[in-house]
Amino acid sequence: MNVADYPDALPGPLAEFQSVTKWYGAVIGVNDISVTLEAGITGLLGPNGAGKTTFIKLLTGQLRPSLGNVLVCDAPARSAAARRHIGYCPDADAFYEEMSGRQFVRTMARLHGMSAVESRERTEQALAEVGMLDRADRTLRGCSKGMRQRIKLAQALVHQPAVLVVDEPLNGIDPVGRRELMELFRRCAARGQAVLVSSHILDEMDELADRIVFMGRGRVLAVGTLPDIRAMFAGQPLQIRIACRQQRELATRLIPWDQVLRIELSGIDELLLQVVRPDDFFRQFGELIQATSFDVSRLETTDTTTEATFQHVMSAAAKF
Amino acid sequence: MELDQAGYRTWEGQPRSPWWGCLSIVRVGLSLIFRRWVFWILIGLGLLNFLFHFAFIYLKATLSVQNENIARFLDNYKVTGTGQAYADFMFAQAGICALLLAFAGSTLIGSDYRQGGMVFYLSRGIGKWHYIVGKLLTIAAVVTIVTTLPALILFIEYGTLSNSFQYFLDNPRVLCGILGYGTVLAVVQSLLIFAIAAWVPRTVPLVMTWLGLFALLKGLADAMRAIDGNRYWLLLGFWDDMNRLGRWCFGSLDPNRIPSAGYCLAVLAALCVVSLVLIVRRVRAVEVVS
Amino acid sequence: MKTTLSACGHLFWLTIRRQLCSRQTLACVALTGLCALIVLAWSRQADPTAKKLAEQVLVPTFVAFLMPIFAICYGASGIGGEREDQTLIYLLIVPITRPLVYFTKALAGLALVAGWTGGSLFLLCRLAGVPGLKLFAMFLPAALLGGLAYASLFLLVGAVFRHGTIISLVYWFFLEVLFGNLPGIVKRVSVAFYVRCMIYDSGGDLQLGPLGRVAREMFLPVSGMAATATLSAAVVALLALGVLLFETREYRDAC
Repeated sequence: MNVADYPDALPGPLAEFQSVTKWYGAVIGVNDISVTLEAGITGLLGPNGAGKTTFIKLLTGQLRPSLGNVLVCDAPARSAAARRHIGYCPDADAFYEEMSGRQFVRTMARLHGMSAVESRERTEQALAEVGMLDRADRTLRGCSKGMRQRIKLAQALVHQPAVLVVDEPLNGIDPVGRRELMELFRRCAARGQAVLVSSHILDEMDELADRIVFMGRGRVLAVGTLPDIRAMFAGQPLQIRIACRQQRELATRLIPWDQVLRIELSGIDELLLQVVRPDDFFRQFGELIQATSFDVSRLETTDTTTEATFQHVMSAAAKF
Repeated sequence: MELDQAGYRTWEGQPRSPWWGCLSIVRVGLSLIFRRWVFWILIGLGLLNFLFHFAFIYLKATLSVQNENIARFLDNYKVTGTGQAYADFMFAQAGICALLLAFAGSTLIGSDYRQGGMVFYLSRGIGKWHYIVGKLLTIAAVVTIVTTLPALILFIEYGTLSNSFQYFLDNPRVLCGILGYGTVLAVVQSLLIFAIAAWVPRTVPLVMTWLGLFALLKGLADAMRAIDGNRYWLLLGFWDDMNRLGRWCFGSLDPNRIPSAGYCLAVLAALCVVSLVLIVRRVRAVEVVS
Repeated sequence: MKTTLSACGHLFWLTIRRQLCSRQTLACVALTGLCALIVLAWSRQADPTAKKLAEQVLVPTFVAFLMPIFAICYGASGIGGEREDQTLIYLLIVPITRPLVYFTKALAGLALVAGWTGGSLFLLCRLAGVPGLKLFAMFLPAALLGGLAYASLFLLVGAVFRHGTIISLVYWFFLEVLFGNLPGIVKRVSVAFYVRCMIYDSGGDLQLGPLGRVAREMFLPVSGMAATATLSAAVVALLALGVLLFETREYRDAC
């Protein structure tokens, strides 16, 4: 399958939040959000109560913004035109239980206005994509959680939307299945679809997302690729592990440096450092090694993961 | 060390009998119902009848002080004070209680099947009988709140506002009647609604089945009796059977009138046994999926 | 436009199919069966007349009970059932506008209620023999219009309230059964009143009316034409209100 099969895939932003605020009575759901979603995989991260669900519900047109606009392919998100371009895989494990997986996906295709023949073809394509082609005749009531998750994903893909919104998609899926679904998301992104993945499993976001939207307290705290965000938070302490036989001597040389916040000796030849402004640190450290005879056998950073960045972003948010 | 800091500590007590778990189920069930505004609307509507009786007793007591003839005149209407009056009151309350139970059945039992709550309960240290008894007690508590408790309050009010407390000594049968009729309503209705909700957990069919039993069986009983005048057909109307048994508790059931209290008791007992069998067959921790 | 119509058509049939293949249909069958038994038992009495059938069976059993129950069954569960099953989300994410979703679901629900009401009335009248067949034409318009009015109301209640079925039940018991039988004009807020007015108007030859002299004097009926107009207007108004509320409402329980 290629991009040509996806007429919805358009250049430029596929979805856009324009200064969107949503109130639930006296409680604010999201606060003045402006974000665009483009082709590729965007991870939506945030702790409970951060506003992720409100974000998704606004994007899928279930909620109306109190202020601002949500556009999907240039149409208001609540309009039927926008919903043609959106595929939504909800978090809730709810189906028309009496149907088989195939019937359910086909029903959703028909509800998107497809003819009987077209819906049959698209259903088979979608089931093949999620790896359920040969197991989709089982009644949904009797399907395992993983199978149900895949069927839910198939119904979101069946009309080949430009924007695919998946809420906690990897819940209940075994490791092999996770890899397959991550591959699927990558394929969707490669053919020009915008895939928004909301998840709490941060490690998978590391592997999966091209771009991350960090949310906290109803606001978007940071948007961008992980390296971009790390650059934004240059003051974020970075953990570095150094293996060096002259452990104590090296520690003595590093203690006076401004970038080094903490040094911990580990084992007989390891140093654990916490540093800020890592670019400065690495430049200065390189000069030191060239100028001296320290025998450094290994140097690695231990917390460049999304989780570390997430923790830092959240702690920064707490100071607002 | 971290666990200590977090405030965790080893529990050193002895676990009590799992039957105590039934009380927790009752507490959780009642709190589930009490926090729904629909319940309070139903209770409010159900209490309209109670408030009418409450006000009438008060008015009668006040007027009696001024003129005893008025009290005697009002006694002719037998609206309050007599066993017959309490039986009528509780029968009217039982009608509203049927609506309340449609809601309670859906919330307490149906949702356990629809949303997997039963697995949660049965994964604790209790067996299915503890679960069943706990749920039955919860429903019985709801029935008691709407029927027996208001009747008891009216009984106390009537006795307290009388000229002396002799009313309580003269009418022990009324008290027994209230408790007896209340028990019949609580036992039969809780078993019946549990059985229906266990087999028909979704709200709409549950309500239809429950009301069908409530309304149509009485119609069928009346129609069958009209064919040949055989009054034993009236036993088909379960609500009337409960009413007859309740009136027997109050001592106001005509002993020569068919069907007698014994027959009603037999039918209701059979109904309870059938309901219990249906309940036991449906309460299980693992749902077998075909 | 074509795809929207096709989607609405599919939603219509989906609703019909799912509602029909459900436990509530079994409950409807059981209740109709019970009513049929009542009619069969009634028809075996010594002197079965059309007037007696109407007063003793059809009005108290069919009009007062079965008809509203069918309406609760397929009306309240139209949107309310989707909410209870958490499947409403699938209707909110398809490219059909919300007013059309509601309208299509309403059409399907009304068709089912009309079918069940008409079908079961025919069955009961047929089982009652000659008196029943005489009454069928007399009861049908009132039963259909009453069933549709109830169904539109309960569909609206199901769309607005989370416990729509229970609220519908409370409404039916208190406003229809209690208020509907109160003396004076207060009963004019109930659907049952207009249904009975239509029946009594069309059953003038049989001198149909409330049982008992006092009840008859206190009934204060409106003409059959006025009752028909009121019920028709109620159906349209309730549907329009439902469309409006469904369009503006945000379902936070939909996931």
